[in-house]
Amino acid sequence: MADPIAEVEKQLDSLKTKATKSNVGTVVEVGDGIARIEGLSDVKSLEMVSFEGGLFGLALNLEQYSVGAVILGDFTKIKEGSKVTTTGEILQVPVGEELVGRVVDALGSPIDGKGKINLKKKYPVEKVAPGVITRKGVSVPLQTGIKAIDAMIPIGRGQRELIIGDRNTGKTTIAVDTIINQKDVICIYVAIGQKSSKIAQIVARLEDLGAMDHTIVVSASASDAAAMQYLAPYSGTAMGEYFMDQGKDALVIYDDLSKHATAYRQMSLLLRRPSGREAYPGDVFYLHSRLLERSARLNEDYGGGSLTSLPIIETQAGDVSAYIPTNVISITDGQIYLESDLFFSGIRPALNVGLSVSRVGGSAQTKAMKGVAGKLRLDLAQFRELAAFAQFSSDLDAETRAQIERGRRVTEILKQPPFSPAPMEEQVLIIWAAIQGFLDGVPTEKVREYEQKLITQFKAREKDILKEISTKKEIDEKLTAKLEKTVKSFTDSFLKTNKRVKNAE
Amino acid sequence: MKKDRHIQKLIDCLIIVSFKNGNLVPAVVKKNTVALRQLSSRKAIYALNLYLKGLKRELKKTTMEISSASPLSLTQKAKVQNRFKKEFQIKSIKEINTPSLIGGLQVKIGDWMFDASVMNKISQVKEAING
Repeated sequence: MADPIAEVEKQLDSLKTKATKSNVGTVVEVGDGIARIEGLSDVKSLEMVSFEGGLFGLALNLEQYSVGAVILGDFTKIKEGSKVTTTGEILQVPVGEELVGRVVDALGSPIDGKGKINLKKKYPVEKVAPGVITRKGVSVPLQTGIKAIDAMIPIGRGQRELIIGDRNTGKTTIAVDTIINQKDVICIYVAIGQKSSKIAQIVARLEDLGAMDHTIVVSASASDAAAMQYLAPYSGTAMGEYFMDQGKDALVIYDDLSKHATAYRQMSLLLRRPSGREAYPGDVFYLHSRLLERSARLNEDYGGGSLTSLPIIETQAGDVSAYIPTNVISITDGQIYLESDLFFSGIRPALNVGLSVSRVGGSAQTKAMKGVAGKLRLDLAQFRELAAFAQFSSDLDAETRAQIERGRRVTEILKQPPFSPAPMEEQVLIIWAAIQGFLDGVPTEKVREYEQKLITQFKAREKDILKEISTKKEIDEKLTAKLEKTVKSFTDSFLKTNKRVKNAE
Repeated sequence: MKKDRHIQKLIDCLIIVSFKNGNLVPAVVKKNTVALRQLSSRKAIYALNLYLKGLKRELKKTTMEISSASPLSLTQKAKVQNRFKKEFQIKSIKEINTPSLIGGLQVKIGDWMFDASVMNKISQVKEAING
């Protein structure tokens, strides 16, 4: 072990101290996380400034005779008359593999009590998005493990897919399920303005399921300053960009951008910036567009990595035409719309398939899934059209009744418990069974049981079929024949058992 | 009082004419003050406040503040002034006794701080050790 004193002496010998030239200012007003500084004539926009006592700030408002800066820390330590110095640097956060498995704040400092993180490399928090030439089209799927999403609203690596819905509709659950389902993708979960207890619960859940091994949590809770809530998404994106630049795939989840916009509004109003619609500053669109544009898939010349983002927006009373939701919808490559009515009627995930879309579509799906998804969508669309007549099912013709019954069963198989992502081959299997009509004879209330038993059966006795779907990623004629034989035999056995049980009752 | 852009623009012009070759012209300042007092009382208070702040700000740009641990001799002060007179217009020198600097000196002109104090060098060593 190297002698620490000798090391320090070596460092000191090579050190050359010199006189410094710096641009200084004086705090004339401080409060609510904002400081107004006189002086600092040479400060640049978004430059980091250093306060007396070691705190840092970000120069946001450059006015004629004063500078408005947000304080990145406890503003109660700053007094009127405190000296402020420019640093000549823009805000940067530490990035690297050592962050994986850790919970950090918006400046990259650890807050999980697991010790210091030693990182040499830093990335700027604000960065220009990759240009058109550096990008490649989205063609590799990002499996969320949620049947309804992977089948009908497929997400690709490098895409931006918005998750939008009212409070308590399962938005965060979708995000967490996606993280749990990832194996070779580094996930960054950015918590903005949430309750600390909720963030702690999510971290505990990820740890229990072994998902923290590939996850970084960036936390800017409701008790943190508005400046930290404003910075957190950009810090998380910078951490994701590091992995993208290494040629790896990364996923960043912003939970949620509505609170991000609220924090930015608070900061802007305190900085006395002119307010616009709903008191948001005029550049609230740019706030989110420059954030989400940094998600991309790079071509091979630039490493071939990708950064996928799942921004979350909370609506009020299902109003997707409000200001911030419409802004983010217009930026992203599709949205997953969750409805309270569906949630409370037991359809979870509460996806409104009609209003949800993925603009990348089939390019981000395996052939196997593409083969079954088309018919699934059709069956569901027909069911939705006839849903109103479902209450009169005894008065309808046989074909209509059959479509309604098929739609009910398909709706049942799309239900999924939280924190239980399904691998692609299992999803394809059950959807294939449903669209081929194997579930038509199964009572609706037994469909979930059928699904569980089918998967168990295949995992125990037909592993090779599941493996073939997983490796080949398509269902050819030979595989179709195998599936038909196996699923039919299972279905017959299930129905027989079910009938026996019913008679016994 | 709410910011009034017209008064701000007026004050900016008055500040420019209050200085000649970097020196404050007392007669012009007196004349401007009298003129501003003609406004309504609320506007006059606001305008005079802005004018005073503006004058102080402009004066600071041509004032050299030398902070040192021990008093400087006249030769030393002249040497410091000569060093900076090419870059800045220096009309007045202020000396501040700051024992916490330990040695060396700090020169402040307007918003620019030149720090050649021993305290600053100790801080650089501390930063180098901490990494």
